[in-house]
Amino acid sequence: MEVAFERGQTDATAQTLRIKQANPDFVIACLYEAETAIFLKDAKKFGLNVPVMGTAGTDLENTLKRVGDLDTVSNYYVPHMYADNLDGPRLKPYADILKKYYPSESLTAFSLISMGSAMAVVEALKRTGREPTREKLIAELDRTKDFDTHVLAGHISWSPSDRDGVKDVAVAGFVKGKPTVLKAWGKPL
Amino acid sequence: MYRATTVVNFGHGDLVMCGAFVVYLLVVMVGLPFLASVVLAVALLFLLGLVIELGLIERIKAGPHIGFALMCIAFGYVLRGIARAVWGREVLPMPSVFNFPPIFFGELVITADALIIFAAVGILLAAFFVLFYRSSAGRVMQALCQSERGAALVGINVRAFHGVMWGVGAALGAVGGVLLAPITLLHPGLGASFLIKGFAAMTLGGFGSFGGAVLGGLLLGLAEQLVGGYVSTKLIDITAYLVIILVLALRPNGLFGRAIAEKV
Repeated sequence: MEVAFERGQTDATAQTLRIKQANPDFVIACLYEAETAIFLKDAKKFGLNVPVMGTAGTDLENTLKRVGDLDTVSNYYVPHMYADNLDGPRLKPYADILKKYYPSESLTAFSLISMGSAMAVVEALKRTGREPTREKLIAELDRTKDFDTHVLAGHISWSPSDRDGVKDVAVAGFVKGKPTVLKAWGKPL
Repeated sequence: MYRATTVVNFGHGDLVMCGAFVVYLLVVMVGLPFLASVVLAVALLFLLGLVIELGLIERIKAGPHIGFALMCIAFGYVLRGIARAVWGREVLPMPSVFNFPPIFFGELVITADALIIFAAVGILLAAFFVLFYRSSAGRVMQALCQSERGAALVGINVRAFHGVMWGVGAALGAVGGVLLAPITLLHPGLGASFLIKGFAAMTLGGFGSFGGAVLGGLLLGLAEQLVGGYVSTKLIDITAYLVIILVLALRPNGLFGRAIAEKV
């Protein structure tokens, strides 16, 4: 079933009760940050105890801050674009770069998203040699295959007919109260 | 406040938001106890209401009524802008008055927040009923509502009463913000989202009627949930607007409002 939860709504009672009545196995919540938090609070209130998959923009750390208690987000999962937790050791060098140049920025799910693509572009530029041209760069970008950025969960592959480079994404959820990148339900990467 | 001043405050939603943010500031950032923060926020919002009336509304008293509406909208936006400048657009968790898990009676779910709101509205309603209908101050307010010039002629300090009523209105906004924010989360647009629902509730219940405002609110809430539950969740947002249109078209004075005859 599909229910609408409009932007700016402050109550998800009707939506939650309709979903609960349908007895779902799983809920996909395509919502913005505020509405996600309100829906999760109401889901807990009305005893809707099923896994909820949110959007990549509603990262776990900030969703937890918004709802204010771990119990409400314990069954909440999000697509995770990165190869590690936002505060994990694999992402630390990249988080440090961000902090160096933007010290007042807080780390969110969107903070490092362009770094993987930037690395692939740098690799292609290196391959073009000392005299890069537009054509050479495009050709090298199109030769990018299965490139591991160490930032993104998926590898980058481009071709002349496919510029949608990243096809894979991880899933993150709370394990023992901590946002964790998962390889299976409840199992950390 | 409408009964006492006959000004429809289009900035009231932002006073609700402002009250909630003051409590958040005092509890989370300053570390004061919740109850003390609420009392302080109510007092501060009372002063803010007083300042708005004496500093802004009173100055344009002689002008057209549209000036009041625009002034209310303007100060509401200023308050919202200040909140955005300090806290951004992020939603924040507001501490609850009491935090205990919901109670289930079969399909019925009762939450602590709902009980507290119910109790607070009941107490405030009783207090204002006594104030308006059983006290001399209430009679003065009703006299002001009927004729400011007449009230002034019999020695009532109209300006002071208006100031106090704006203060009381803003203070009640703070109470509303404290009760609502734990459910809806705290953000600068909090009050604006409730303003139209408030007007719909008042239109349904009848402008100027206490019981009507409460009953209108309950009926509007029920209508929203029933429409969302049995028709479509896409229609929840427009229910308040539909109520306003229907009531104004079919029963302009609402359920308990009274038509006021004016001598011309």
